[in-house]
Amino acid sequence: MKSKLIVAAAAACVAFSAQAADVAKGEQLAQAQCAACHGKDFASPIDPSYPKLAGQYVDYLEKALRDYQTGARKNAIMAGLAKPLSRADIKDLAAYLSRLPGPLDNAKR
Amino acid sequence: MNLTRLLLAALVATLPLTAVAQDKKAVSAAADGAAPVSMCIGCHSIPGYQASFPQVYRVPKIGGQSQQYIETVLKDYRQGNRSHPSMVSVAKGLTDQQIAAVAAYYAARGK
Repeated sequence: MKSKLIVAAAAACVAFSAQAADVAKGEQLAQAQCAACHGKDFASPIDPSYPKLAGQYVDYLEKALRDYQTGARKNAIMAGLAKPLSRADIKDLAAYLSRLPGPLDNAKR
Repeated sequence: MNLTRLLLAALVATLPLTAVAQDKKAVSAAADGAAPVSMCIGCHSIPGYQASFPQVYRVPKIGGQSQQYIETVLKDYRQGNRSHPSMVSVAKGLTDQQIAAVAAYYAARGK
């Protein structure tokens, strides 16, 4: 009985902290701020030295944006774009980009 | 006495030659597309593989990225523009030719 209560309380905490990402907001933000360089479909960047983002892992995309914010990853353009993003913005962007179809793969062939 | 010296000198003289030969082998291996990817596949060729240090997240899919982007990333790690401990040590051990070969290998492995 008591353990059930604890489990319920823990579940409530998880639900509260893991705020669901808003994919539609992510799409808006991505098309406004990122598409000019990374491509409208995010699989055809305007410069080959820029990454394709469509279909990339959501947690890696979040980490990349956080690293640009902190300076752990250094790139003048990306630092300027990432700095003003909130935690929610980053979650929304990553959720949208990771759901797009794209050529990225990591299976051994 | 004199003979030993002579032998030693001869041995020393051949050393630079073998070093050059090995260098040439490495370059032509890279040109042939024999990329040194043994250091990459343990993480980057396992779908869903998670990095656990210093942060937990899935390591990025790199198959199908452009060759130029992968080269940029490896050189960024080598120069210290990015800071993942294992990627820094891998990248520091690669020559420009090896980086190009690894990048070409993964660029050709998209969906």
